[in-house]
Amino acid sequence: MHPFGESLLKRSIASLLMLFSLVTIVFFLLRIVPGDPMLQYYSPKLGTQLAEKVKVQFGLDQPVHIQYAKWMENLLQGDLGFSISFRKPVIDVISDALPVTLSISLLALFFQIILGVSIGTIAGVKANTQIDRIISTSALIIYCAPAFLIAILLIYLGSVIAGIFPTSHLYSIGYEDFSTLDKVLDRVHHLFLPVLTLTITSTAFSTRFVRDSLVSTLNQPFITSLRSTGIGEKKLILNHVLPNSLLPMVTIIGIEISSLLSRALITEIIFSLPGIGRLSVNAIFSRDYPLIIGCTIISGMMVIIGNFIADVLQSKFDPRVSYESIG
Amino acid sequence: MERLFSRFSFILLVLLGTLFFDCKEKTSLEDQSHFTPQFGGSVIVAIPNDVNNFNPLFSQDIITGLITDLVFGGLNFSEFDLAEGKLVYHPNLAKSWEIGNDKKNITYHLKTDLKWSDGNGFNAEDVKYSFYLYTNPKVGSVRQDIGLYFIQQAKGEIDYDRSFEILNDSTIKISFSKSVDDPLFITGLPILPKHIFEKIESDKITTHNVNSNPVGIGPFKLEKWNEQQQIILVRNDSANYDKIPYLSKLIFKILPDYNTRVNQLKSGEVEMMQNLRPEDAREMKNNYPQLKVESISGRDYDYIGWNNIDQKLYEQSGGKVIKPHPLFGSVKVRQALTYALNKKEILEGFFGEFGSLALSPVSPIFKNKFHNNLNSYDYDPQKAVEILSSEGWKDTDGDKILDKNGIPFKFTLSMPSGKPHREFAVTIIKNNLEAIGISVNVEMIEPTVFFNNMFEKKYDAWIAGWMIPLDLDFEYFWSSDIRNNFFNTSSYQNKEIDNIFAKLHETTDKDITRNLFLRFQEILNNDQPVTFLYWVENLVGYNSRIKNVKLNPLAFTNRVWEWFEVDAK
Repeated sequence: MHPFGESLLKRSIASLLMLFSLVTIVFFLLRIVPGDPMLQYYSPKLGTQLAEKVKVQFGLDQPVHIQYAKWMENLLQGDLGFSISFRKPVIDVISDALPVTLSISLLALFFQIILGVSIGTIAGVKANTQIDRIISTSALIIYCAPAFLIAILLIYLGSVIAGIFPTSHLYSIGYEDFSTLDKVLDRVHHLFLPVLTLTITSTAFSTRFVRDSLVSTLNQPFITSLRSTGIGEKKLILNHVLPNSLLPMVTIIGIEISSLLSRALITEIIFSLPGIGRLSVNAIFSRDYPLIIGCTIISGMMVIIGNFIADVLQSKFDPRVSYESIG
Repeated sequence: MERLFSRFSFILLVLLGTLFFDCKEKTSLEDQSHFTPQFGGSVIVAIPNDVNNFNPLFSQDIITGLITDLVFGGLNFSEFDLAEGKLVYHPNLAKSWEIGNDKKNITYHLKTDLKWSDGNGFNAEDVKYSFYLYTNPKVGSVRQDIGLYFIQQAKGEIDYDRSFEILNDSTIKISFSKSVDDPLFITGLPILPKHIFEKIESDKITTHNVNSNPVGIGPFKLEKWNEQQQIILVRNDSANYDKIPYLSKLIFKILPDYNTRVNQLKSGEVEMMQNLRPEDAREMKNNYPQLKVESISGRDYDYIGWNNIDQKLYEQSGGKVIKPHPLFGSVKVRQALTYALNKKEILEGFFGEFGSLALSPVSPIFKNKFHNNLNSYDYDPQKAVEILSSEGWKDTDGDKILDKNGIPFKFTLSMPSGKPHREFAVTIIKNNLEAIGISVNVEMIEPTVFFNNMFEKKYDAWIAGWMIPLDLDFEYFWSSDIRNNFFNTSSYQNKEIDNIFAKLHETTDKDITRNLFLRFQEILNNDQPVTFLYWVENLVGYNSRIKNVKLNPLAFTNRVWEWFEVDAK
């Protein structure tokens, strides 16, 4: 087998095992955590009678290990079960929410890379000058500021003071009647502040990362020898320094993909976006067991995919990392 | 045009009617008189969470109930008459009714020309089938408890043919197993279309997509539900229904964050929201002339629960041994605790003009049953100390904490997190109690865990709130059967109260009922099984472009079809 194919197979098996253990742990952990999804069915006149019946409907009356076996059996057939609070298949609930989170997070990731690399490069090249100090210090301040603070500040500036951007939702009321162009513009209009919030906070991190990496590359002996050949500074940076200093950035992208869900959460709540972050939190508060596990699977898969992409990219770009080592 | 005119004269009559009752309404009459109601326009209402479904069988939370009620009507339409202090009923899907002499049955005469929102006709079969759906255990409706009222067969199953007798297409006689206090209340549930539900297996309804595609008869019908985003209702003018809204659309925008809701109301992105915090209500009143703020006295109160019995002993003995709680088991001690708390300071500090002190579980809006002369236990720490001392609680070891038989007066006060008024109250409560030598450890707990523990009676003392039932059926909260009534969370037991409940079941006489209710409140007021704190008012803010808003304790959208917009397009 081709070494890449073999490592892919090894990798997939390891990922499945990881996902399996994650789901199993969460499944049993949820039953230990206090709180009862049936609390909402308690009634003064019927007591727990109704709650007991709904429990039977959802199979929650069975011993935990039987529930688990049943759930696993369904999972293998691609069935994630029914959400208790939505009264719909978990898969439907998640597939409504996932595109929202993915669109804001991936857009933010895209801008983060573009902005992070460009601003970081400027700061790195101009290391220890006034420009570098301004960029590095502001990046540090923004990095330290919690995301919700940035969000509120942006709402204040963009919506309250300037009155340009909406403060919530994915689209306007009456969206269905818009022309295609207006629909696109309306989406951009609504997504601008949430994506900006995510971009600003993550760009701060990658800017500093790229800058430091660039500075350390610039101090490498091979740069000094390249310089002695009389190569132009622009060519040196673009052809030799950047490729070497951006390698660690590839790993960062992988980590960023894994943390998309957790980072999108605050933004989704503040901007009232129906994404998977908000969904998970609500599921936890209402103890909607099937939905919590559904969300866990999704976020687990994101982490695995993120790491996988990072490893593949790294092995592609860095000859020192072989296919064998990522298996 | 004729309809417009008759509708307008109806509103005028209502307005004139209120003029005689209450002079405060006069300003609103003058305010309204500049504007002629007109059809068209839309109102955007901010809500904190999405509906769970569009099926009255399963609507549990307040928002879901409120919105499904706009799409599904009941046989009668009820509202709370603040002047009368009780529920009043108007025709809705039924044009009239007769209640049997002994209140053991009610005969409804249905409107004959009503149409479901899918165009099918409405008749008595729909009514019978709706009650079958509500009470069939296989369906698992959250209103299943209504089944307790109807005629049962031998096995405890409902005899549907005897309980719901269809006399003809437009007449149905509903019979109860015994006399009931309010037949209209019991039979007022939203009616569902038989032709839709009979095609679905009973145990499949709970997850069927019928729950998101409602077919009903109400002032509005569902146009679009973008989950977790917005719900768009449009005027239902094809049903031959009499409550046709002026508004073309009613839009509910889901905004989970409280501050976002407030900011959007201020900026005009949304036009109405309920449950404003008092400080925001005040700010809107003072600085936002385009907004109106009104408060609805309601049925929500907060209290400090004291576990009246020694719970550990009770559990260990398998429910056989009931001994008073070592700290809160004595009536005198509980009275002292209530005296020690500055309830007025909590009320004035947080709610200001929007709230009132609670002294019993009967809200002042129930004028006929409310006791207006109870001991208010005004803040008196000295008296509290004296009572505690007479009960043997003194600081004998000089540690500034009261003790008795070597036990210090020390406990944990638990409360669910996330309610600012309770968080405000608990600091004052802790300070007040520590000032008289009682050591309090406050613990805030995630709500789902908290309520679970509360029902399992795991707390010695806690702060929570109740919304009292509209039919004022308190038996499940205060009767002595603590094993079965787990809503009696403080394990309070009193024989006289049990007798009162028994007598209430036997009588339908208004005066006797009233006297029993007054006595019930006196006993609770004396025994202080819990310390009643305050009634929470619902503060509703809305844009003054919306006219003719008449808020009701049942729901702020209760008479939504009467709302109209100035310059509606």
